Amino acid sequence: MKSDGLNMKRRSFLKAALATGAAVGAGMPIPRFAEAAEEVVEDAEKKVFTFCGVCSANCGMIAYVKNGRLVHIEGNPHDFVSGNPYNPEDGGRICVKGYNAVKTLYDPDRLKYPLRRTNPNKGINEDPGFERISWEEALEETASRLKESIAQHGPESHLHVTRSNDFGNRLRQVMGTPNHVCHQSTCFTTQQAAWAGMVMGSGRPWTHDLENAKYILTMGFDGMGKAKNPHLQGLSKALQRGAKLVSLDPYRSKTAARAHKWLPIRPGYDLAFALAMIHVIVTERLYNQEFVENYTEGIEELRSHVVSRGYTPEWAADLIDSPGITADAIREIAREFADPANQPAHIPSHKRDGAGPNHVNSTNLAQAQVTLDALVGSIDRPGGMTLPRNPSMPGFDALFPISEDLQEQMPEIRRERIDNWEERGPFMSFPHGNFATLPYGILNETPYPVKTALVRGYNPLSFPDHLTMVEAFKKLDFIVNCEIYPSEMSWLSDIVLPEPIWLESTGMGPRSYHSLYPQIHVRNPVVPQLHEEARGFGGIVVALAEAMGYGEYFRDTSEGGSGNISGGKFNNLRLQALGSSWNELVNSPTGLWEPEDPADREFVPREEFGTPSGKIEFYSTLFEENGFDPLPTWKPRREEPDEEYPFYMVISRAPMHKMTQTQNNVLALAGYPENSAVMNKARAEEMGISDGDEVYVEARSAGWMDRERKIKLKAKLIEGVRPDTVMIYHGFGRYSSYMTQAYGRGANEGDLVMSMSFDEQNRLNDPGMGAAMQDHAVKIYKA
Amino acid sequence: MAIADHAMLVDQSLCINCDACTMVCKQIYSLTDDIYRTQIDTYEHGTYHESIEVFNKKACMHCREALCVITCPTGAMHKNDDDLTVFDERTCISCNYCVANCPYGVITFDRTKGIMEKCSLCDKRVENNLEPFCYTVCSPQAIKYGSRPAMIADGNARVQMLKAQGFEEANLYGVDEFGGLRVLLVLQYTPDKYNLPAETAVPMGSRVLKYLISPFGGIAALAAVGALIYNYASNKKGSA
Repeated sequence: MKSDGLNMKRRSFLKAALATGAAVGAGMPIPRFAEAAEEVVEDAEKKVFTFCGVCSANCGMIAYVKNGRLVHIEGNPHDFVSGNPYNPEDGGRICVKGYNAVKTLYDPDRLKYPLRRTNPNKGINEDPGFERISWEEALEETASRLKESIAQHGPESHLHVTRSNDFGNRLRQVMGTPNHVCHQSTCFTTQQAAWAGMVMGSGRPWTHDLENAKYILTMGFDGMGKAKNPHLQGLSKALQRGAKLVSLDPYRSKTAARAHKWLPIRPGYDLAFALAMIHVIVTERLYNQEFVENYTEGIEELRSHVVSRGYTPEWAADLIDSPGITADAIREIAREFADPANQPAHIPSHKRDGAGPNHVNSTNLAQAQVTLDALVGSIDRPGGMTLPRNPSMPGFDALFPISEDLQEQMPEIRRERIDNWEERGPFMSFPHGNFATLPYGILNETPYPVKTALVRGYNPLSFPDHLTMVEAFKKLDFIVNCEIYPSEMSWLSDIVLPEPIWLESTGMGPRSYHSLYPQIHVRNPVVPQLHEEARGFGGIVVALAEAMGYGEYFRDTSEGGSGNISGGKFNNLRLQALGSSWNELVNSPTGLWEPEDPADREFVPREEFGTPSGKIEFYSTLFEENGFDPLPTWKPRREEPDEEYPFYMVISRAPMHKMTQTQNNVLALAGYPENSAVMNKARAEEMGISDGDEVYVEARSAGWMDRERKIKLKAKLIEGVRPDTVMIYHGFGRYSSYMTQAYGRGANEGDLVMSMSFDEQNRLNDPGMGAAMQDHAVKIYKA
Repeated sequence: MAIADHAMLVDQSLCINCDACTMVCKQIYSLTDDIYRTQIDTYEHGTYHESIEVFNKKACMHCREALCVITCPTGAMHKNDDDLTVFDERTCISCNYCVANCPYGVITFDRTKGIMEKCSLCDKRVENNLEPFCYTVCSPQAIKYGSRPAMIADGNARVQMLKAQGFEEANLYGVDEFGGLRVLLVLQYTPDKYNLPAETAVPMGSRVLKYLISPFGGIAALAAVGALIYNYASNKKGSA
């Protein structure tokens, strides 16, 4: 479809709409169904550019508003993920989670005003007994509780549990605590460490050009089933262009179901498969000689390493011991992967897959994957793993510097953290932190007691060892929670502050991945804020800082600036640094900022990389310096199943759900209402378990915290899962009764995941410091 | 090109059952809980590592020779000017013949609204030169919409690609079934694996019935009796 054709359509539609209007005016019958009016959204009174806030893919959107209500959302065709800026005529598409957000906006359970807990007892079975309070009261009480606590216990006794946010980061620094804990050790720190050590030297990792790949090998990566727009669209486009897709996964994921070959690998053994592939490719010299010679270091070290360690296909096949994974099959896939006829080939990897922090060897697997991608010349090349193209803009501190006087008044920040993150060497510079060790730190007051917390957008259900984390939150004297929903975190908090949802917000978002050149999205409010009292996080931080006596740190100190810092000012200054402005972005006909010069909108492959040598380092000098394995090395799981605990556990997500964010959305629930224990049919029947039976899934009490770890789920029996594996979707087991739709459905598999003591985390010596979410065995029995 | 020459192509080899189409449709058309105009069924065949999983995006196929239209005693279920199978609730007597006779099981009686709920291929949109929502929203772009010859050509090309990749049973479904379907399907495997009907021609009995009742078109006596019997039977079944 050509763009002028599309315009023609819009024009002819306009005529038709006018004709309909005339017909109605002339007293002719109006359409039979009330909903027929919604059917044609193109005549909306307002089409608003925004970008999705469900996940970090930042998909560009166009929202249709009729009679003041959001009726439909479609993808922005000029965005790299929703559409294709080189070919916008194909239209824009987002994922089901984005489309369903219409129902989140109008969810009556959303937070409407500040709340205070009246029940002094905290816990899963303790209704907080919220009462409505004013913002003044909420800020006053929060400020005084935090100030008093810091005065008594020191600044490090306060904890920020939020995603990285410029306003929040400044408040934390002004308060003087090192404890900013994010979720990434349960998400992607393993891949990030490998990319930092081997390719980038620092910073954020990978993006994939799936669409242009001809051979795609996945290792627990369910890009289709998790339905993240860039992965789902990219894999589908690649398939339509004739790419071959091979999927290693203990569970027949949606990606595996659509693949040309599915191999049900033993959970935690992808590393053995990848090492054997490296063995084949380097010993048979199948690699891309030109790329390896010009852009990599350490091929000889790599060769002698895999040979001396004996990482042969036979070794791997023996170890993996799974149907279809013979030494010959590994050899065949390695040869196919390296075959010049199949280039570009690559191994997409993103967050919680085999190389995500699911296993204790996930960083090693991530190293092996980078190695394989580099061997076939697919790093930062079309059809390969590409590095991000972020627009370069000045940061918060550069634009709003703190005066020297004020800097001197700031407390010195201790190095030791409550989550042991400082033990991660150079990789701790990423502002992340560790969910897996946080409960240990808090409950054991190691290295010191923590008393207060500001928590935003995170749910205790997503922590490893969720029940232990609940105990840790209970131990704190005071928690303030910024949220859009009365979530399980609100349930455990003292003060709850309502935020608007992203569909009501103003802002901008640089396309942080999946972009072949820099783009910035505008976020316009789609409808006026539904709940008057909700406030954006930046505004909350500034107001709280004011109430705590830190207001001076949030004055607009930019050139010619006055008053307080605001998100709007920050965004405008950042855009001005690019030669644009907020005004220009808001009025952009594509809803995007893009480089003006067409030459800057071409993909230019990198010639140099961020490592000390400037090359991709098969032998990571950065890893070696910091006492980690410089080459990809075999490492077994933390725990194997045995007679008593005979199952592996694999965690995934349903396409229409995003972690714990979507379970109150009636459309997402219509698609997937409750999680279950997905088991192999023959194996379950041997155990006397039928489809739909209630079963207990129980983990051994391992690790530092001795407790029962047991959840009750309905069994779902299928063929497409290993007989020794149970698969569970995340996001269920909700106990906040204020979430009326999500409440009481299914169970939380996070109850079965182990947290870690600092000793154990140190002993694992993982540069990714991953939470190893599915490295323990479980047993299953009828309830 | 006349709208009657448009077709939809659903590539079931790319569908992953994400429910984007299902839920946008449900939201836009404000469908009653548990009622859908399109839904995706999952079928599993074979055992363990040799098993396959297929998805069938189910919705009205807009058969040229539509059994629901043929067996409707009042003309409520009818073909519009664009040859789409659409429904007029003003003449429907809730006899449920269409539900019972649809070979694809894609018509649902919504008791709360008292109407037959089915996909209209977004008839109001196509009348306005727009495309059906499931085409515009499908994240994996498994759905295409355009001229029927183009869709058949695209479908055949995809089938050839799948065959070359080892999916020997790949086929294009809907070119001839029930006089030709407005919705064509690319299948990786034989139609039975998607629970698609083996019999794809209008049975003689239905044609005879149509012949018998058509002279009395608009007279509801026979139909009302049928409706009573059907409702009695289905209520009985429901309470069992």
